Amino acid sequence: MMKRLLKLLLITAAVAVFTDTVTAQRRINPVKQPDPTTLQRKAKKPSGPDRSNLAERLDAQGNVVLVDTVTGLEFVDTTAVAGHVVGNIYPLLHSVTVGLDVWDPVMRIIGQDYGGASVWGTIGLHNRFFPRFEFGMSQADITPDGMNFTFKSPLAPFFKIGCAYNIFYNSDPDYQLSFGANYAFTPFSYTIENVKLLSDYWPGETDLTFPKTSTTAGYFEITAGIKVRIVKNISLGWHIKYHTILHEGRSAVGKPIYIPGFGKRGTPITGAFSVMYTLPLNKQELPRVDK
Amino acid sequence: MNRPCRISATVLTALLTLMVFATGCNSSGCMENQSSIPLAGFYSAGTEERVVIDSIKVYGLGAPGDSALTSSVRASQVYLPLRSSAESTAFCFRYLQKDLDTPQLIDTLTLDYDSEPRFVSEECGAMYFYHVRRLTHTRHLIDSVAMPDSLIDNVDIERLKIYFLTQTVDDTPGADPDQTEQE
Repeated sequence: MMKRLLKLLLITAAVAVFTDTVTAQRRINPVKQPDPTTLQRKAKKPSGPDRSNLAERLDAQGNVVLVDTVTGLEFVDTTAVAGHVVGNIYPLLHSVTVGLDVWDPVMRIIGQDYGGASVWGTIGLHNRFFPRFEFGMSQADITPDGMNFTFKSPLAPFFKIGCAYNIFYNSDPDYQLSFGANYAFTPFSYTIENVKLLSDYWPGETDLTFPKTSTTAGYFEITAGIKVRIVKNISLGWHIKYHTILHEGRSAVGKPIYIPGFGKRGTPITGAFSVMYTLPLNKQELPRVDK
Repeated sequence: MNRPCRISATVLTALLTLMVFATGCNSSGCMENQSSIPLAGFYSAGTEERVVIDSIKVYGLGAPGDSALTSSVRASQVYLPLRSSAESTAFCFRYLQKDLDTPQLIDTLTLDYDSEPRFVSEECGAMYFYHVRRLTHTRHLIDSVAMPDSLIDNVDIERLKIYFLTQTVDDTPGADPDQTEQE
């Protein structure tokens, strides 16, 4: 019995020693070969800082900056930044805006001797392009200080057609910064009255009135303007314009000093101040960016 | 304040500033004459160079008191204002030097013209333009008169060239001042 027990122990020990010797020479892991037709993906290592070490602060542009308090590294929190939007986020027919230019009426009140008023309308296409039409009436009664004439132009219409481009087309439509161009045309007439011709040498004075002259003029405007919503659908807007006369009818007596809608000849830069009402055409809630 | 609003505010400020400056940006002031007055220059008939006429009085025929158009007795140019109420204006050239100051040697220059009222600009105003039809003159000391353009407007350029028979004075020391060369 004792012999049997010793023999069993001896065999067990021999098997154990053999097994241990074999495994010490070569270790084999039973790994299944991957299918070469399938895409292999490496296991992702955890990237970036440990968020438990991050502190938040805002930079000068209002971005959330994450600061790793261990390493000192700073990261802009891109999850807090709106993604770059490609294309137009607003629909084609976005809004209709009508405006009243109150610059000339205000200037007439404070003493300007020419001008009128105009109304205009635009259609906002994607809040980006704004085809524009303007109609106005204007007149002048100008007697320059120290001069020998009175220039009069009765109430005459003027028409402008053009387009503006809003550079914030994917931003809040309540704020617009736009650049545009207009062509304007006006048929009008004028007279030059109370002309006193006095010679410094010869005696006598000649009084005369130039005959009424009917003519037309066309001019071109380049505009830059802003629009800011004030309350509900009411907005205010400034425009500054560079304008130049493209064509005008010939006159036997001389060129007019004033052209309806253009203002005085020889003033290349002028402005406009408008009160506007905007009617949204599409009230679909849209993603707001940069808000 | 969001970004568009900040930019709009900046642009608004810029526009307002530009508007303030633009109000004074028009071209003010008449760059030419405020009336159409032909300017006549004096030239030597011999050399065709500009000369300064010593002791001369120019006046319009029929002007009150024969008032002079030249501000001094020495002149190389003179403005000759035309009468807008007439179709002709005559100017007298009286030479005040010794031996020349006689009524027989007074030259007369006459311009016949059509007047046309014109409005030039806000700064220059209204005035007459003149289309000269004929120009005549006596030939005592005036040799000839040239007028390249018959239109007289308010552009301040020399419209007439009056060529005089002139004497050259020898200024060299010791020279006899009475010895002059008659051209």
